[in-house]
Amino acid sequence: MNVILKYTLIAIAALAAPLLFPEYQIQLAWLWLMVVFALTWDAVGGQMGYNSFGNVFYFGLGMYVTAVVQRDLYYDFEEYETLAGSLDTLPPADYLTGMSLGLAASAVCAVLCAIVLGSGILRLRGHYFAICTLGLGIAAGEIAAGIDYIGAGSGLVTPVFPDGLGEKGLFFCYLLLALAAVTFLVLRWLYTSRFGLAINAIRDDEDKAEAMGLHTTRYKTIAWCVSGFFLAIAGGIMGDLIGFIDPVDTAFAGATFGVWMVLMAILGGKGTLWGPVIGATIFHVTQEIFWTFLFGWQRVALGALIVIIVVFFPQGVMGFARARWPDRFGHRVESVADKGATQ
Amino acid sequence: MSLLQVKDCSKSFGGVLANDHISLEVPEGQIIGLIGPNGSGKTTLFNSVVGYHPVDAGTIEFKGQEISHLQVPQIARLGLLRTFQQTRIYGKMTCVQNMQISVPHASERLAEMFTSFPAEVQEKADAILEFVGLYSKRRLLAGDLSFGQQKLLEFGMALMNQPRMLLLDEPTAGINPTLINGIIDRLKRANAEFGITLLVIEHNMRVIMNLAEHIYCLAHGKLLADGAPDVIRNDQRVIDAYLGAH
Repeated sequence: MNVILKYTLIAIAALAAPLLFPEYQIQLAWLWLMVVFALTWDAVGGQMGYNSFGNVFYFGLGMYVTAVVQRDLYYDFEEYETLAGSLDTLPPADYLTGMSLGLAASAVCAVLCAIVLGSGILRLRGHYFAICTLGLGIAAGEIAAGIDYIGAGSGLVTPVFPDGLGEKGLFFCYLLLALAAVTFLVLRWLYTSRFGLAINAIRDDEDKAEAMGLHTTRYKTIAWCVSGFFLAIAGGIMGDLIGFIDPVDTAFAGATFGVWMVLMAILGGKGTLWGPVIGATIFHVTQEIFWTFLFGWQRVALGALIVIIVVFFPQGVMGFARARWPDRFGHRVESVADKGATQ
Repeated sequence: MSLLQVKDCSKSFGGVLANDHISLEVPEGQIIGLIGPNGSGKTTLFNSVVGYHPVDAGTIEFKGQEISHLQVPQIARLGLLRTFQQTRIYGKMTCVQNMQISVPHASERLAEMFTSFPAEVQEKADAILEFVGLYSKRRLLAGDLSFGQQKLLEFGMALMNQPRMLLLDEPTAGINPTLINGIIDRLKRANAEFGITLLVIEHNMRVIMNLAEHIYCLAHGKLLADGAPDVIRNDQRVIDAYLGAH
């Protein structure tokens, strides 16, 4: 009951926020994106202990796939190439159809890529995995910048948001909120299942997990697929929100999104359910404050924040809380006399 | 027919011949000991059996099936499990979680990976934690337990996996004498009550002489002698190479 009440209150607050503060709609949309970033990164990096710097690959992939599906369904390639933004906007129904199909296609592509790439990359461990995934993100950006079909280095314009669907900010704010909520609930369910314990076991000692007969490769691949699935959908939505896809700065933005994902998860507490949500919120708010009040020095301030996070809060907010108050997380000695009572 | 049959097994690392044509047999339901000086190839033999590295020559059969070409998790799923000399548990998980995830994985289907553990698993985990004497610590993180308790937990996890056979690498190393008696007792009970065949590496002679029905002694990668505890204890070659004169 307590849990349901807590979730209901959070849901009401999240739904009311863009209506109460309409000027912050786009900010809130970005906040929900950050939550998805942190949650999906944490599934692989926190819960499974595979520190990936290449998760942004799925984000960029989703962005491109969604945009291409939307374009090819309703526009002529040549015409779109030259006239792009000045073409007539789509009727709302077509826009939504194109977007849904695009998001579905990008999710499928991401899962397929995760299976294929994972079968090779997930055999690496520790630093080698991190470096390899770093390369994955960079390579994807360079490759995308060389393919004319998706606009190459000059980028790709996404279809213009049509009138008749209400305010753009509100639409995307709720769409990303829904995605963040679904991501959170799916991960919450997965972490309580056998899957959750298995990827935790892989994090703590993969050799032991193998020696105990766990299907480690299968579990690792599934974790990466789940992460890629939600990231690709997030990418597809963001492409339409931003309106323009640059291969290196928006799609495969390893130096910004790719690093932020890691930071937000660490800040909130790696390997916890709420940690990434808390981390994403703190990070996004601080970042916006820097942009507003420390303009000109915002990158320096962000850099300083990153250093502070890594040096002083390596366990993150939730990790700190768990170490400080283990009782509240259920880590306590039980006397044998309790046995009947606790079962 | 033996449960585990190692025939003429050789393994070298560069110029070091760690196992030189070793043959041994472990009959079903018995407790077999493996002793020898440090560096004599005991752990290498364990690693070969459980699939950590391929053997250079020879065959390893478990339940009559050749396993020397299989991977570690595949061999584990056949019911041949090992514990580690350096105790390995999942440190950031609670004892109960350590136990739950150690259920047998042989018949795990894809859909099953996303389900919660049934109540029987929970009951079994509790029962085994009680058996190894860790029931009251079951909600603690495994990494916070003492070394000896971690050894007991690792043993409990192995039992949870319902193996046919268990390879134990120095189960009493670094354990205080009182707890050692408890471990000997539990190993014997695991063998008698759960029907698990044991192959034990051990340096503590009091333990291994007490526990094993048959002992193999390695030295310099070769099989030096084998026989009943009394025979081994009085074998001049074993005394010279390992035990020393009392």
